[in-house]
Amino acid sequence: MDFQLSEEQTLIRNMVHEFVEQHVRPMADEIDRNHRFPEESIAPMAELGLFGFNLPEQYGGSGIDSVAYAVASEEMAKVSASHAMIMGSQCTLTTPILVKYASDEIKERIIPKMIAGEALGCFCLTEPGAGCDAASQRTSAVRQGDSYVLNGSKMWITNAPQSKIFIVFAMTDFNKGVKGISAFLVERGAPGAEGLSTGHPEEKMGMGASHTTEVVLKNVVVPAANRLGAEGQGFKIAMETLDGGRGGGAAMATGLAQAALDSTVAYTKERVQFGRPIAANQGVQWMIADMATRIECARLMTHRAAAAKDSGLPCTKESAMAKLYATETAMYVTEKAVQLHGGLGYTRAFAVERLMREAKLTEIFEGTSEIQRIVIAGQVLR
Amino acid sequence: MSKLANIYVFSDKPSRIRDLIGVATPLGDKVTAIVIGAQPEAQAAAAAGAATIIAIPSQEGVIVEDYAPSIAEAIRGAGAAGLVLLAAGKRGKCLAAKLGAALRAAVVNEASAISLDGGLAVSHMVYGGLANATETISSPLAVVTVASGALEAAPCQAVAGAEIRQGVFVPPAHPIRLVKREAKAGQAVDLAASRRVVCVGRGFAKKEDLSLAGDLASAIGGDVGCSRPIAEGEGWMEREVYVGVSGVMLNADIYIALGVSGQIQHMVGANGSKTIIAVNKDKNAPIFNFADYGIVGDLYKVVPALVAALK
Amino acid sequence: MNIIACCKIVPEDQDIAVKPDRTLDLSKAEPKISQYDLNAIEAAIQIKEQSGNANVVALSAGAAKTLGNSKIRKDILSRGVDSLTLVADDSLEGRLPADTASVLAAAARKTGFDLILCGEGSGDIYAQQVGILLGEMLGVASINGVSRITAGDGTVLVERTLEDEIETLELALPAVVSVTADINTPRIPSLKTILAAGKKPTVTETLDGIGYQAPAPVAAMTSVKAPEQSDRKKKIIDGDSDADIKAFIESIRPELTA
Ligand SMILES: Cc1cc2nc3c(=O)[nH]c(=O)nc-3n(C[C@H](O)[C@H](O)[C@H](O)COP(=O)(O)OP(=O)(O)OC[C@H]3O[C@@H](n4cnc5c(N)ncnc54)[C@H](O)[C@@H]3O)c2cc1C
Ligand SMILES: Cc1cc2nc3c(=O)[nH]c(=O)nc-3n(C[C@H](O)[C@H](O)[C@H](O)COP(=O)(O)OP(=O)(O)OC[C@H]3O[C@@H](n4cnc5c(N)ncnc54)[C@H](O)[C@@H]3O)c2cc1C
Repeated sequence: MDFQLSEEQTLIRNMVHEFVEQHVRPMADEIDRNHRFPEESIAPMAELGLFGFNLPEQYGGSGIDSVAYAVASEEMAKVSASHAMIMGSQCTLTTPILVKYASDEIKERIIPKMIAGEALGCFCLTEPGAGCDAASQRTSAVRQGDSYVLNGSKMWITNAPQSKIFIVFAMTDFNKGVKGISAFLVERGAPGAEGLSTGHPEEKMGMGASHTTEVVLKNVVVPAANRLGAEGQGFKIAMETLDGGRGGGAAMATGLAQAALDSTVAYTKERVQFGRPIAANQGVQWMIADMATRIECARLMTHRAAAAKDSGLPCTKESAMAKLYATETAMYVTEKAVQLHGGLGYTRAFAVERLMREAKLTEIFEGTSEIQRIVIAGQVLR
Repeated sequence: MSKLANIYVFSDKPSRIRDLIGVATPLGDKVTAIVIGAQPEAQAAAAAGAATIIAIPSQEGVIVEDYAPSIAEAIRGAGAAGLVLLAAGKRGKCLAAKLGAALRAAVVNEASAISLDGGLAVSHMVYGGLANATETISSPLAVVTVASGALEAAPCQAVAGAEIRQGVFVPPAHPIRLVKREAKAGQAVDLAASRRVVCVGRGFAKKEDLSLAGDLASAIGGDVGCSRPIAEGEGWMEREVYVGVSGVMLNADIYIALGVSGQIQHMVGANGSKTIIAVNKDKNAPIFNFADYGIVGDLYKVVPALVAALK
Repeated sequence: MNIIACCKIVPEDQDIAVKPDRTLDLSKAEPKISQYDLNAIEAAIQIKEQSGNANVVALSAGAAKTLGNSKIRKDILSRGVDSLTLVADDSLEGRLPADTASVLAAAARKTGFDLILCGEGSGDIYAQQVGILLGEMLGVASINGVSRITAGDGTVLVERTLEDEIETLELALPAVVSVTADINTPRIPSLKTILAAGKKPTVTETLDGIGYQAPAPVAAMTSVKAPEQSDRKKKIIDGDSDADIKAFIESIRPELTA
């Protein structure tokens, strides 16, 4: 058994590292503080292929390698989790659905644009009344001839203000419950989509540069060809997509934690109290040992879930465990990091303050920690 | 070891000939200056302290680098043993390598020391300034470029009745055609010769703010330099005034760093200064490990106060 | 047009440690492509993009144990070159510039070329002469300090930004040109070029295979040592309140008025 990254995966990590150090680090604090979407990052990210992860080469993607994606997401999150979110919404939540379920015409028309960063996509599942209980969808899709008419509203949608491509889940048959949910592609700007609108970005605790808004659908008409998968297949599509997305969330959390640990190691070796660096205290050393150990574990679980996915092995439990453990690790580590930076940790002088705010989200989105436990328990008790 | 019998000096810049002869004098018994031109150029070399001068006739439209075969020929004619000193600009380095190839001589650029103890040995910086490497020369001749102020130069007297010999122009095998040459707008100062230097780093938010550094420099009677990103990334200042391993090596009395982090590649250029003063808002910036005096603070607050206090 | 971009593999200088006796510990320094050689590679691929029909070969000479690292080979190939030629021999470890240039010359003669591009100096010994030595050994035109290149018909126009002037020169091909760090910003390899790197051709040459004959040595590197740290006073004032600034000014005033 070999726990090494492949040469390509290592080069991909170096590539993302070079990109974030050159391009993202100088703006990371500013975009978070000003809640500014980093428009200027989209083209360079596309050029590096960062929107083409896990997509077939025929559309201009890089082929399947979830471990490489995890490595990239971790590296990105070390510097800006908002950038990792933007990448994740595109690479794990939207394009894979189109690749698997859209018609050839749609795939050939849209996927290259998404890879080129000309069209961003968003995943519209959550509703005011359907959070953890994603199955209780109220958005409706009514068949009219060759079209569907969509009505309803979605909440907490990442990338929505900047998106052209909306993957919307809606009820085609309210009587069938979960089996009545279907998935649709809505293209902003297409005829019939005039009734699609996005709201103001929520004022979030962190991830300021990744915009999250409401998406309102008022009599939005989409061609039947824009239905993704069969009628009633929507919930399955949503869940399997989230299975994949979880790996990205876990990797992002690992990156946040690693950045917080790196800052802590440097700071505690430097900061002198009682005549010696605070890292010389065993109490501090034990905290750092725990932080490092948990991060190591989070990374291994994340890579293992990704590797299982790429080998076509079942990975629902593995992904959920990785997401749960990595995100709780991110919260644990960033909280300790703020603690060990003392008063300065509670200011914007160090990134650990932002990292802690960013870490909190990872426990909530793409399925809360509680939901991950429900999934894991379901698998274990089966 | 005793002195070298012969040292040859050539400078593509008239301003450097005196200090190269000054570096050569303690190292060699006989210093020969090679110049391109005729009487006036030869006399200038004599005035700078050269006892023997070889004058290669100047050619229309030939770039300095293409005099390499002629200079090589002059040196060969004079014995081709000892040391050739050149000014460490781009032209000097190009010539050095061309001479090295033509005369099968070792070439060392930007010497930080030249020693004659136990044979000729020349040191220069390696690994981005992290270390000094010493090369022991085994070829009869070595070609070395020297940056302004990098090596101690002995004071030299003008030589009356210097011996002036006529060199020959040897055309290069693959002449390079000069298409266009323009003087750069605004001559940059020679920071290596400055006594006091105020250095601009990336802590400055925009180009307009550089006047702050200018104000401080005039208040202390110094010049303004910068870190590499200010010259090469931002392009706010000339490349000739960035301090560091690939830029200028300072020999100043006072160096004041404003918003400079103090990476090794920069500091090796600044460390030649007698007193180092740093203003940086990051307490952990490496610059404070190299500083005599420092303040952990915002340069936008500190510098105006400093200027006001010094007026 | 056949372009060779020379690139040296050097230790990552960030990871070089200074030992107590001031010698260097390179054991933790991973190999990487020398910074300025990335400028040479980028210049080569920009010429290719402009002229449309050029072939860019990356050429690296060095110890077999370094160049045998297939990750570093893929790294070079991911930068946009068409192929890679290596001259790998453990005797090439730590060679001085005259030797390096003669190895590169032998390899370039075998490969064939119209234009060779070099960086201004390597990240390890930064000797700043290999390009010119190479040109002289090959008997072709050579120049350094180049900050712009325009390929013409059988010639290249190069711009040099010198200390106090800017000049444009025309060199007849074949030629060797050393470029400066500000000629371009080397692009970061993309996901695609990284994944394609393993499929690009690599030719590994031996010293015998390129007909290399070692020139008589001209110098030997006899010591590499970190300079002694000069003791600084380190009187640092932590804070920029008005009182702090006043104290700072008072501490440095004697120096400034001396
Ligand atoms: C920044 C951000 C970005 C997001 N991006 C997207 C996106 O792009 N697309 C999208 O569709 N959604 C997105 N979401 C929505 C996210 O997935 C939901 O917020 C999440 O699923 C939780 O839903 P909720 O907020 O309605 O919380 P609720 O469902 O109201 O849950 C509240 C609490 O109750 C707990 N809980 C609920 N049910 C149970 C149970 N059965 N057992 C135990 N505990 C339970 C939860 O774990 C949680 O702690 C985003 C959210 C945020 C904050
Ligand atoms: C091969 C190689 C060769 C190199 N050669 C050189 C060289 O010759 N010369 C050179 O300079 N560099 C060189 N470098 C680059 C060098 O490594 C550093 O990147 C560079 O010196 C950093 O410049 P800086 O200190 O201006 O910028 P930064 O490192 O970005 O530092 C800016 C500093 O400003 C401080 N600051 C920000 N705002 C304020 C404020 N308002 N008030 C006070 N302080 C503030 C910050 O705390 C920070 O410390 C080389 C690099 C390589 C790889």
